[in-house]
Amino acid sequence: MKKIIVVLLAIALLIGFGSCSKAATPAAAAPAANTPSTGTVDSEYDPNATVDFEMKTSADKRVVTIGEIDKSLYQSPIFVTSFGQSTDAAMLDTVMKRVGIDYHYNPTATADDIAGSKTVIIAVGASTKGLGAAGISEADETARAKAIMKQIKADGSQVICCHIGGSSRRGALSDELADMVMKQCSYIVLKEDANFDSKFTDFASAHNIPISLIFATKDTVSVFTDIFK
Amino acid sequence: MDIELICLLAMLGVFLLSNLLLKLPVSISMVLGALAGAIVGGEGIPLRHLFEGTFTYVDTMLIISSAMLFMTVIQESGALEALNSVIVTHFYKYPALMLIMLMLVIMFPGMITGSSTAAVLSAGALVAPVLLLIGIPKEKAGAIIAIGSIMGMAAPPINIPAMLIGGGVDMPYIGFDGPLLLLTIPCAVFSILFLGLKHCRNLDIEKLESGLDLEVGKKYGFKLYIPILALFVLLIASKAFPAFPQIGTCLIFLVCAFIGLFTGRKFNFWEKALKAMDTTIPVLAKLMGVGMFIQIMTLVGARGWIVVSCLSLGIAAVYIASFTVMPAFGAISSYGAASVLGVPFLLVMIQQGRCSDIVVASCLSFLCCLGDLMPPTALAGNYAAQIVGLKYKPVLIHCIVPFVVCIAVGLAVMLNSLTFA
Amino acid sequence: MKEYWKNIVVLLIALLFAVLASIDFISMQVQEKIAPNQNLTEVKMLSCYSPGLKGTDSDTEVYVFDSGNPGGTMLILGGTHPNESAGMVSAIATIENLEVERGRVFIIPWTNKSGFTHTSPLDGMQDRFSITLSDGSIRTFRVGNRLTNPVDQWPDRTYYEGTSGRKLIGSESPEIRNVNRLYYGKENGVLTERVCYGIYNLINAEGVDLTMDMHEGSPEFLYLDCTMVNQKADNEKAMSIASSMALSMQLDGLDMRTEYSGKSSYGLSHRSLGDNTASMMTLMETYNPSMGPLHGKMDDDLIVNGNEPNYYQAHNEGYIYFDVPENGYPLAERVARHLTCISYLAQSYSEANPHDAIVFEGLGSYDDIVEKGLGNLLKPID
Repeated sequence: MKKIIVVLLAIALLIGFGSCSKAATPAAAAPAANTPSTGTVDSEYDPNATVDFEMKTSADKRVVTIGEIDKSLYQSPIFVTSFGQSTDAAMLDTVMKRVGIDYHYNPTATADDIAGSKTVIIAVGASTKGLGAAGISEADETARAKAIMKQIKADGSQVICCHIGGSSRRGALSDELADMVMKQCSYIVLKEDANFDSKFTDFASAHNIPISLIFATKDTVSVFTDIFK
Repeated sequence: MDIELICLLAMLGVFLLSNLLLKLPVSISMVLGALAGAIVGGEGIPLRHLFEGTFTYVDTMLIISSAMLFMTVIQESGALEALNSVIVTHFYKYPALMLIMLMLVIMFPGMITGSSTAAVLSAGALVAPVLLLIGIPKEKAGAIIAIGSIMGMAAPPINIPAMLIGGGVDMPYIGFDGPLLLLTIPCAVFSILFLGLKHCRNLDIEKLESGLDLEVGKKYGFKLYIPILALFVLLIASKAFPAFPQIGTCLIFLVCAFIGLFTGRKFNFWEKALKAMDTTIPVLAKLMGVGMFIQIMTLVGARGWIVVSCLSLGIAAVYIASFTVMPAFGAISSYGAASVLGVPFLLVMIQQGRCSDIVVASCLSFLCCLGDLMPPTALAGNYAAQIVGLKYKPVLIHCIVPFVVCIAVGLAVMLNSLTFA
Repeated sequence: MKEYWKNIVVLLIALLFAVLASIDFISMQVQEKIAPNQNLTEVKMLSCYSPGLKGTDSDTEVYVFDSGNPGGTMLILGGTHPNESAGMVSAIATIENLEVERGRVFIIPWTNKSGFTHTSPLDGMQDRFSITLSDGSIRTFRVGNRLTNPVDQWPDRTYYEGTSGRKLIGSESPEIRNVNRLYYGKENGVLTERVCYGIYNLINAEGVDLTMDMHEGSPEFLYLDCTMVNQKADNEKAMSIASSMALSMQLDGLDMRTEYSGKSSYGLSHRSLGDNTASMMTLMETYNPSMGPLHGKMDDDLIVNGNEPNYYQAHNEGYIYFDVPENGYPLAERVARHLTCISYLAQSYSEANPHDAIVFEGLGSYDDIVEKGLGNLLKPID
């Protein structure tokens, strides 16, 4: 009796493990495990937001611009601010430094600060951590954004909508802020992986706004160098 | 064929051969399997790894040993017998309640030692005559003790397969109490009511009392239960109040055992303690063997290989294996099932995401524990059958329905792990 | 009598194996040698800043490079988690190659020194790996455990609250032996906390302006190739400096992003030292497949070449988000990434604070380091 069971078990195990061949169907994108043993916790960086889609940009073709950009629109003084307080604003600040032009940077600027600027570049992307660090509530940030957009309308300044955080900046608040900016902008710079549902390109073609799709955040440097130099 | 697969087959092959054909103990077979894996994997005899794996569960082993001493004391002092009498004489009018309380008594030693053998041999042996006295047939009484001891083994605070699975994925054995109670208590209640309730209509208290030993309870009174109460108070207080002095689980058991020496029947502690350790050492040895086995599996890459292969198979296959292959593996060793299959299965489920790792680990450990019912070894079943004076087969037949229900409950909780987290 | 003899023989055999194994375990107490660098100013012990460490296995070396010229002060931490090898190797490579021109640089290669003396049970972790240098000599490094050795600090309490407010209870209770959970430490706390206190006190006593804590993570981890940066009202420059570093690395073709320190990351260096000292705190992680549960056979190929087909397969099947390279992520590239990050951080810091600049040479660019390999980056030991 025992011997039979041994043989059966061994066969069952062999079949079980043997059939674990490499030729299996790839599973749908699943989240990576949250290993409690490493480093930091409480990420808002959600890899689930990544959706596979056909991208226009690639490592070889880093920038794709759809539509004609009128560079003459973007005059000094230039103001750079953040809608959503994500790290993208600091990145945009760094980019502008590399481009080497005069500009003002204040991620928490008020409508008054912005008054008189001819060009306003807005880094769109909400970060709960960034908002927390700056001590701003989501409601306050939305109110600030609305006031700024109102001021811009009154001044008739040009707006560049800069969404360079990728798919991880596609939450409800990020999208609300992006919609607000896109309605008044004359140019969109977008890290393309955020366009998995073609939200941005659809808006741009419907409203005839030029849009530059970039492959990685660093490509913002070449895009703005092109515009301002 | 991948070298990792060859290592794995060598490990399992040597383990099965030594255990089932050469009749070596599980622990020694695990050691031989680990050695075979290391040699086939080109590691020679990696002393440091063999030692490191062996000592992984040193804390657990100390806890089991001290819990065994405590169990001996409350058994020999008469506390368990008195508890049986109290339950039967006070609750015979409510048979369902009485049966559930008796089930908890059967489970108790398993809960604190994590070993179904300990449960069967101590509380099981004492409750069996009571069950027969009530009028439950022998084969059903045997089945009740077998299932009860397994529920005790799976129930918190000590569930060794859960520790093994958690240890294999770098997850400390903490926070398992809730999910394990959720799994074990309903299953235990169902099992004893299903098997026993219909035999407990119209109990005759005089007949019952004549069959029970009421003397111990009368002689020592409430004093008898002081060690058990002290154990509960200390265990709960040290977890609930951070300011409470943290003397550790081992010392809590030893202190309570010491109290028990003075609260009941006198007995030769030294002799009984040695006997208790005799039944415990194989359990400890198994833990050491399992630790070594997993360490070598990881070292030669077999663990990673199983996980990646399971990932490619898809999650459905893993779930199916978790309630078929894993309890079946218990025929050899439920600890082996936890370490060889439980660890990679949990890793696969965690990789899939959207599950609570602790709840899933609890369910897997629960399914592993059920393996102790599997013939031919069927540790719990065989001992339980011995106690009621039967062969294993008739007892086993009565275990089938509760067993299937337990599997269904385990699976249901696992698939809805987030709800229960 | 015969019974006893049998028992004695069994015990003696067990003892023999125990002695042989313990020789191996005790050998982990011997630490790596570091090649001399004429630019090194002095070597202090962390117990200078945390007296409670004196005479313990956790007292660790602090390598000081003082240019003698005015400037800022940088602290580099390696080996916070001793199983994350790139951190320690990067720190040692820095010590052996650094030449500071302005300001001062403090380097601690074995931050949790006790953790280097044991490995993690069940992980089958190799205790050492070797690197062949260009002159043919071989240097061996230890791989430890991310937690302090229980021989030095045991047992773990079931409930503990560190100075940061992090409650070590439930699944986190073993973290009472994790340096990166107990900041900013406690002078008379548990041993691991005294290490944290030493670093906290060093930052305050030496006026450290910029700190980098070097880590690695298993591929399941979401923060790989990312720098965590503290954020607080009186240190708004931090993210701007880190962004400048990240952009520089991106322009060099290296993936790098920055993240604010997590709101509830109490006790972690970037959060708790950031909140409680004046230093700008950063922490960087690289990919290390040997740390993940999917790893295959544990050997030098896994640790030094970072080559793990299991992870590549899991990534291709959509389970692992991190872009696992097909041919592995060698230690040389991971070290190069850490060193490049340090260089760019110091550079960005100096641009933002020209009066407190930290200027050094000797580390080389990312491409230089990868091309040279660890065999040239690390110096031979005589």
